[in-house]
Amino acid sequence: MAHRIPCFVTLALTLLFASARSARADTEAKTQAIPTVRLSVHPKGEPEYALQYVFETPYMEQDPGNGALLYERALSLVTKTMSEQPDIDEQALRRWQNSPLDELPLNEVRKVVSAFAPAVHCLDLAGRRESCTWEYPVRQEGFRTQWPALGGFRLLSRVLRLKARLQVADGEIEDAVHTLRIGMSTARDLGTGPLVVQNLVGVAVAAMMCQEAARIIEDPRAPNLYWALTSLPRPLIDMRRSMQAEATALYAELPELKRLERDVLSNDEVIQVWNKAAALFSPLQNRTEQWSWKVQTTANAMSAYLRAKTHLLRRGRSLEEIEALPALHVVLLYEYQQYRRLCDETFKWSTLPYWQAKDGLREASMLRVTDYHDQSPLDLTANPFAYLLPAVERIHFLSARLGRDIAMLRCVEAIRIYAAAHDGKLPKSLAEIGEVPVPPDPLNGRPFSYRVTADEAVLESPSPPEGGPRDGLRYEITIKQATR
Amino acid sequence: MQNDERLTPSERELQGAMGSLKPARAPLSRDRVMFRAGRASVRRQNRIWQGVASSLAVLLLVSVVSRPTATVTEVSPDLLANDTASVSPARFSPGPPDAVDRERLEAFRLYMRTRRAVLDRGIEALPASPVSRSPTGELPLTREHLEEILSST
Repeated sequence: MAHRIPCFVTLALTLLFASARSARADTEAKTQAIPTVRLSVHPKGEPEYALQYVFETPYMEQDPGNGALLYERALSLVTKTMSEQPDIDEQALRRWQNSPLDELPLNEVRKVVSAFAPAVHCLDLAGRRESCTWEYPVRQEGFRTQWPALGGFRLLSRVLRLKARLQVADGEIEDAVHTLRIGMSTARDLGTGPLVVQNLVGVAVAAMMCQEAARIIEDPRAPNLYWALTSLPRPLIDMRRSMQAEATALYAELPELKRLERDVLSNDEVIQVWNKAAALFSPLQNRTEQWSWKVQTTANAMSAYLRAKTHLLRRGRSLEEIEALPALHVVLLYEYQQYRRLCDETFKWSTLPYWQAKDGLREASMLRVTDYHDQSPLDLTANPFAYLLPAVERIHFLSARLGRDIAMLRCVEAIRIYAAAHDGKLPKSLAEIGEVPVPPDPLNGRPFSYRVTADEAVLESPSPPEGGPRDGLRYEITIKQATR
Repeated sequence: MQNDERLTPSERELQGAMGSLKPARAPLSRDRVMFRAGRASVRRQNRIWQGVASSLAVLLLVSVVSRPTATVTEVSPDLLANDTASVSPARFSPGPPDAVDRERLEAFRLYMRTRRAVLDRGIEALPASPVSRSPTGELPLTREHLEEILSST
């Protein structure tokens, strides 16, 4: 027994330490900073003409034509500028975008912003075009299409943010709002593209413009942007089209599937399809792993034959008819129909606002690992096509998170309108604001959390359970007296 | 005994010597054997305990020494570019060459990888802005250039 005492002590210490660390990690995760923006704003009512400032190009300022061509031109000009001025450091732009004005090396920033002026001008022209059609033949070519160098939009968004900040510093507030409009138009047009990645870049560009808008409205001369934000399309970026485009890009990669329900494929043809699927979808990289994956796929397919037969019997096929078909055709047909059903079960939820769709989306995502009929495990190896389906739940969340960012800014502007009408006072609750409607949180469908402490209001969108702490957002708002 | 007469003298001598031998005392009694078996089994258990405790102690030390830092969510934009570069056509051998052409395969896999990276890590996962010029120093020709050329003729 004496031998065991040190062992027990070590074990107890380990458990104690592990539980302490786990508790600390939990606490850290909970208290890990929700991104917090401190805003010191001035009361400001609506502009004389409510839609004097807008982030959507007014009809009379639009030009006929397709903006996509000009966006590509803008990217070409980014390439040109980067080639001609190799001393421009993209990482410096990244650092500057989060620095307050008084910490920026203004001369250097002006030089960089000026270098990208031709590209920004192209963005401006593109955003004014009546339409934006990205003519990538995804339906025919799948992902073989040469898609644009999207990193260029990230760089241009940073340039736009810095340009707007310089304009505020120079007292050109209206120009700064126009610069944000260029960014919002770019985001909106990226959102019309057929690729999910393109849409996601649009979401990121718009989120950056929202961050810069929050800086601009701190300036005492800044107009109230409530209606400019409210008049943006909702959602600003609708990703349903690109998600569907990507899910059906399967036919461009594996055209055999188009005729699967009409024609009968021989066992050799089915193996050929699986070989292609293995090459396309397998996350493994070397030949041995590839072959191992293929063998596993085939083995799983063979074990699925019975389920595949049952599936076809339930769909009205006779046993004789099924048994007359090549066995691998039966399995492939089963896998393909599972994929189609998985797509629809998932996509149907993307037609609802996120807060109404999220539970259904979570359930649909479970179908990826569960068979429809017998609830047996069905991993990606068993159905290679499932790999192509985009992460709809996450994509819908990111789009809604952008909607949340815009809605919170609308709340801030509503508070400024209230303060302008009530001697610079903060509303005690959001419900007290009667001047303009206050939007709910698009992530949960409920009003934003709002509380007033002393002379500060805290407006918060908590971190949703399906996201991390960084997905929350908090504004700490103080009101300064209006300059007269 | 009735054959004693037929024994040779040397055999009788051997018989006498053997007869004088007394059985030696057994080196292990039954009780001692049982005791040793019990002790051995306890030692084995002790070794298991000691092994587990030592492993935990090592883990404890390692976890104390190497405290994980906060989760890094931002990733260098170059990451994806490097990641992409590591999957060179020479390393990637997807099934029969005639099944899927290499260019299509590379484009597909690159896109899927980019989509995953952007979903996980955001816009920072995109490759850095390209800096490329044609050998003649001209900008790459785009559809929009073609449009300009066509409209100017």
